[in-house]
Amino acid sequence: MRAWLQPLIEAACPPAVQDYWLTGIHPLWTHSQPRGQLVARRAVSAQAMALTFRVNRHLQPVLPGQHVSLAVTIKGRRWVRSYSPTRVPGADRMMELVIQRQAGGRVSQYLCDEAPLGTCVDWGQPFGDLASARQQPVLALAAGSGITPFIALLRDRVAQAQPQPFTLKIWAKDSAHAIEHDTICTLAAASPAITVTWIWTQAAESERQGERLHAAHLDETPAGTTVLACGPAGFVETATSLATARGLTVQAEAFSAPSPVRQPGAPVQVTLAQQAKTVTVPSGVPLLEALEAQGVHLPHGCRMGICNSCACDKTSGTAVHVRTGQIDSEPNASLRLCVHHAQTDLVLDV
Amino acid sequence: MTTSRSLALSAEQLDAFAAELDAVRAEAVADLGEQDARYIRRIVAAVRWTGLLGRGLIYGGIALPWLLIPGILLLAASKILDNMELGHNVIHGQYDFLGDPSLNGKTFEWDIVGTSDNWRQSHNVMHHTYTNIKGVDDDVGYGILRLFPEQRWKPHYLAQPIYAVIFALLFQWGVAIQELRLGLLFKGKKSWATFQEEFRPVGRKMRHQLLKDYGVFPLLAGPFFLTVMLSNLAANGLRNLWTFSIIFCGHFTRDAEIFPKSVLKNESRGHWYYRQIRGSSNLKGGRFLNLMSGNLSHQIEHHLFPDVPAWRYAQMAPKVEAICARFGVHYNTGSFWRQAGQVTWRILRYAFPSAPMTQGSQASQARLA
Repeated sequence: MRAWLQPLIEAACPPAVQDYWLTGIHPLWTHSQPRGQLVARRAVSAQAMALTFRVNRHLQPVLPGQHVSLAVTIKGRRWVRSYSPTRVPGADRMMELVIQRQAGGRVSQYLCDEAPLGTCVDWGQPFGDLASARQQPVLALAAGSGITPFIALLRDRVAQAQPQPFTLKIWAKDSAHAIEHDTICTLAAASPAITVTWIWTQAAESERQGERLHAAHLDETPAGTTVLACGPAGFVETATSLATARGLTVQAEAFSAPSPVRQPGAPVQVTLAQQAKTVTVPSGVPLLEALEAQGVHLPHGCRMGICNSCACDKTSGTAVHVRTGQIDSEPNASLRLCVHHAQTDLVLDV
Repeated sequence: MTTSRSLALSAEQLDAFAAELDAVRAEAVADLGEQDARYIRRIVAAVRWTGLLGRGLIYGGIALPWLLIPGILLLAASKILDNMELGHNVIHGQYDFLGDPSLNGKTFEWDIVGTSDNWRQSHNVMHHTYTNIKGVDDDVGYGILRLFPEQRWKPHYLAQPIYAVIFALLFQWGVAIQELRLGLLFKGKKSWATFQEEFRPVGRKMRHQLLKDYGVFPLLAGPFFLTVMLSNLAANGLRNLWTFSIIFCGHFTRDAEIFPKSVLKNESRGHWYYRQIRGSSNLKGGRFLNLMSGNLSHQIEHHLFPDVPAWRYAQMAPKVEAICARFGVHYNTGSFWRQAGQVTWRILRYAFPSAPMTQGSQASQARLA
């Protein structure tokens, strides 16, 4: 019966219209958009807050260790960021994210300090592979907010009573900046297979100063252990090379540092996500022309920034408007290729 | 035929003209933010609520026939707002900066038989880049009306006052098939197979709209389906007449000009602005006219800044008008009835042959200082 009814309902009331009326009754009743509502918030370190969201049924199951993108509207505009839940939704449909305030960070400041309870956010479907190590012996290396996926993995290990060893080494400035310190210690105590070590890089007076990640931290790691690393790009690069040098499988997720800004004329890498292709173009030349010079012909119209035909999604990177000089570094922003040139490496959704 | 009411401008003057208009644009773009978000969301709410109330009153009109009048008017208003203030502006990409996927210029689909994709090509690209260029901008007469003396007269144009009315009543269909370029099919320049391929998404959209207004909603009224069907037809007709009138008032008033293809060669930014102004005309009216015309009451500002949220045109207009005055460019504006009267005159006048073209009467030649 559904097969013929669906097109009739959609003819009378397209999904966008259904969304309008349904979300007017209850904010989570979307047609198909995964959405969450903020129900609680608490501090988990000097700089970070844990936000609990009730999620609707359109969010596919999230595996511990995965990421979700979060879209929040601030002053009318939508901003998108990626986070790794510290608690994945269970039967209670509650998901917890830990968000660290970034200096000058628009979204982190808003979510941590301003968003009222009841604020709705949109999710992208979960992605990421850290969960594939659920049943294996693991050495997990985390720095700063890179701890978040491991908190979900810890919960999972305890809940599954997983016997395989899970060694977690966490780098943080000091104990005040250690995210979810007490929760992690409690989880570690709940399972004999879990070992947690904290390493303070800017130790407070009563604490022992630790050293930054180096080869010795991987000593005594048995062969066959999977190394998981999560944190700033530099930390993750170090972890990856150390692990590979020992012949260990490594899975890493870097919180990307912004790519270096190039001078006009210097080569930049433009990745065309849908075509799975990366092209080198000179910075300073309008992208539409620069890509055409490399044999990539994209839809366009007026070639003067008016008709919007060449507009596409810039997943990441910084672009500059050729006339006004306006800088656009925002991830997932619409970009007109004919009137922008690349300042850093770019990823385009074309 | 008209000689231009605008002064001829030198290359340096055109550069200065462009710089001043660019500054007006930059000021508006710097101000984009929460106001625009709030405005467009209120428009979405207006489209939804007038649609709901209109359709509701039409059902009520089955019992109390006089309710059909406000019902049809509200439903027409919903369709007009969806097509003009919401759809046309969102599809231009004016609200892309909000990052809202439901208001994205590349994906928004509007309540009309034509597809948004075809509109993006025929309107955003062709009409706005090649505004009023004879032989390129298909909006000049839509392939069936003769509105300028530069268009060669043929005997069938004598009937155009009649088929202009029919075209107005069926305007949404005219717009829907515009990008299909049926003329090429009839002349044998396009294959039937290509046409079928191009028609596929258009056919789907047409079926979707017909199913909505003449299938599902009428059938929900059971035995009284005819009342609902005819009311929906009336609402669509009113939308067609209104959008036709506003669009025609925007480019076919007495002083509007068309241009030969030759102006496109190395056209400077200043000349592009200049051509946009000379080919467009505004309507003087209050905020209600601005709203219901999708701010095409400011056709000039829209053609100068098609990607700036249209509600801002009313604020930008005095600055644009002042710049035009300083450069001697004619700023064409008038009341709705005056402009519409001039459009009617054009349709009637050019149904008949006009005097042969001479050098001095070409509309592209501007009056000298």
